[in-house]
Amino acid sequence: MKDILAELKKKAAEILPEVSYFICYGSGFDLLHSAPLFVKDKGDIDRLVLNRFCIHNLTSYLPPQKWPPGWLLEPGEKIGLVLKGCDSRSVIHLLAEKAILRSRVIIIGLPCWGMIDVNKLRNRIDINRINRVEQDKESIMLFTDANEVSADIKDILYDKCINCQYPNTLISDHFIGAKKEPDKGVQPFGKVLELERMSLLERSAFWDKEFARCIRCKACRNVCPVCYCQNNCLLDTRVPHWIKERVDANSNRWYHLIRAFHLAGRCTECGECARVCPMRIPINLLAMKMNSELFELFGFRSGIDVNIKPPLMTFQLEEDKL
Amino acid sequence: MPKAIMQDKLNDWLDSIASKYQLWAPQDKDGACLLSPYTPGAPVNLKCRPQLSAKKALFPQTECLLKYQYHKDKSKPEETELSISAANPNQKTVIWGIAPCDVSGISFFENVFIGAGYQDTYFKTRRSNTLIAAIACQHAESTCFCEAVGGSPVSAPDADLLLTRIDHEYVVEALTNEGATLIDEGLFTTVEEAKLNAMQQVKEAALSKLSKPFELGSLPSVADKFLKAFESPYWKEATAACLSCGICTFVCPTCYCFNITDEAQGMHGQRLRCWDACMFSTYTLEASGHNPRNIKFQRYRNRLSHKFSYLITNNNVLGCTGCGRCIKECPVGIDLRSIISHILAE
Ligand code: SF4
Ligand code: SF4
Ligand code: SF4
Ligand code: SF4
Ligand code: SF4
Repeated sequence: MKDILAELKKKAAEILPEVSYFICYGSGFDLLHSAPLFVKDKGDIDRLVLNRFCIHNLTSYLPPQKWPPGWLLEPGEKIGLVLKGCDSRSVIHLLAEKAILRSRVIIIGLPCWGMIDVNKLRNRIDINRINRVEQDKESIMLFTDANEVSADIKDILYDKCINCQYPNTLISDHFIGAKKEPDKGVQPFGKVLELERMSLLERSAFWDKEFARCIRCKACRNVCPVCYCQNNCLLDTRVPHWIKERVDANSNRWYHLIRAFHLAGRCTECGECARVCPMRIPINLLAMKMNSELFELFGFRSGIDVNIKPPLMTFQLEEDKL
Repeated sequence: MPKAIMQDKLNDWLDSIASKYQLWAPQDKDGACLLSPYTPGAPVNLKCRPQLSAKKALFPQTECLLKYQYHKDKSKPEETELSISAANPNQKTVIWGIAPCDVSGISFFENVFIGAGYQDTYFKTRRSNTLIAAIACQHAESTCFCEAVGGSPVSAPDADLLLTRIDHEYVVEALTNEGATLIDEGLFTTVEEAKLNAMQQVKEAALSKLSKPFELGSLPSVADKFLKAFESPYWKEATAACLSCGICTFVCPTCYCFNITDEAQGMHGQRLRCWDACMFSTYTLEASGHNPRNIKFQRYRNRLSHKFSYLITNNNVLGCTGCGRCIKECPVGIDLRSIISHILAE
């Protein structure tokens, strides 16, 4: 992705006068992390980075319902942002829900070769001592003072990137770089199918164990681009007090199951909820399961077509599939 | 005199402690490293820095403060009697294998929860029944900065025992008499001069691994700088990416905010104390609907100013042990080291 960085910087400079901020990626706290970067001044464009660690879905910052005025962007202001293929599905879905205005966003699209999951590097090298990283499309070399390792990219990508159906931004005002071929024969709900192969008891034991670990930090909800209920979220209301204050497997289960229902056909499978989880809970699988049900019933995939009404926003008196 | 124990004897030692105490030890659990209750024979991981700090052993995320029960006598329906039984968490406990920054976190809690102004019975009871076995930290992460905030990776004066790993052996120094009682003679060997020197070398090497991102200066001057920076536009810019989640507060060894709720079930119930987080948007939401910290930069500013200013003014302590957890676990890479550096220089 390095090769298109110069082009991205050029485009960013071009659109900067039109937008109040350009949201992109900058360097993170070490060489294995990047971080969202909000650029206002031309001088900051040099801080842009584009590498295999730009995992964040920047769409999280778009819904005005999610962030009250005064945080940085004011309602009505235009925002520029760079989006990967998977992230662009969130924008499409937000547009389909009429949660954001198309005229407010200027999108730079690009081809994506997959992002590296640092957790998959942990067992290979001391990730706290990396002082040099070299990467190309197929492999990565990591260096410490004492050691160096190389890895095949396929072994260390995020699960969602191993089989990527939409490597190119689906909706954009400017597309940079040459489009990448999508991976062939992708089974979008593969991980859900794996879980479904478990017996009911095994599966329930699996989730009990995961829910028991959850510390209810709400990061999974807060990062989610389509979770924008803010203080009206079931997790935050006091009257009625849907979810007990007590943090244990049982009350966590209610939180996650109700949230999953609210995400049916709305989750855009960006995987951010699982990525941010400090307890490494694969929480995205619950919403993915709901999506797989809606796909089976209505053939619906979220975040693909702005003009198709998401199932949770409509109904027919006589549903032929139900 | 310190004693030494071989790595392959650690489980025997822990099993023996666990027969007398409730025991917490760092363990790998489903891809996460956590300080968890120890079950005999379980593999421990002394090379990880657990994702959650040791505060959870003394200040549980969900704590039952008391149980209550209403009684009604059918013959006197206008009267209700209430009986209350308060929790008394006095179980003898050992927290084993935590790093010095987590020991500092516990000392910090003492300052706030059993300080001059306020005594928290629950924390006090737990703390006075708890022994701490710390380990000199040889695995500083890229986010560690304990030295910059006055700590040290290799000394833990408030612990009862200090372990130092030398190859496949651990030298164990007893820092208190109670700590010494944990050393099970049969499993330990005496330590010769040469090993003590080796221990010293290991400690010195650990020190040189640490980065020092800023020079703090005197505590009052730090408090002052943060106060002066209150209106700085920098806060907004620095927190643009923040998600207002509870990660940084929940993983932090010194964040202590809580919420008290009654969980009623008909005629009986429990009063619970659960962790809260000043980064949540609802934390300061008032019943009227007004929220004095409605915007995320105000919340982040509060979190840091509390640690680096208000606590210094009120309790004469710094609210950060430099464990780096909030940096490592923050999902959007907000790095308090750079924010502190900026405020100190502003
Ligand atoms: S899912 Fe596809 S577009 Fe998204 S980060 Fe992975 S490879 Fe890139
Ligand atoms: S991010 Fe993880 S720990 Fe936090 S609330 Fe969600 S599932 Fe629970
Ligand atoms: S539920 Fe998770 S995977 Fe789905 S859109 Fe929200 S953050 Fe992304
Ligand atoms: S962990 Fe990061 S994103 Fe979450 S509240 Fe703290 S600073 Fe904000
Ligand atoms: S503020 Fe961050 S670095 Fe400081 S003690 Fe808390 S978690 Fe550790």
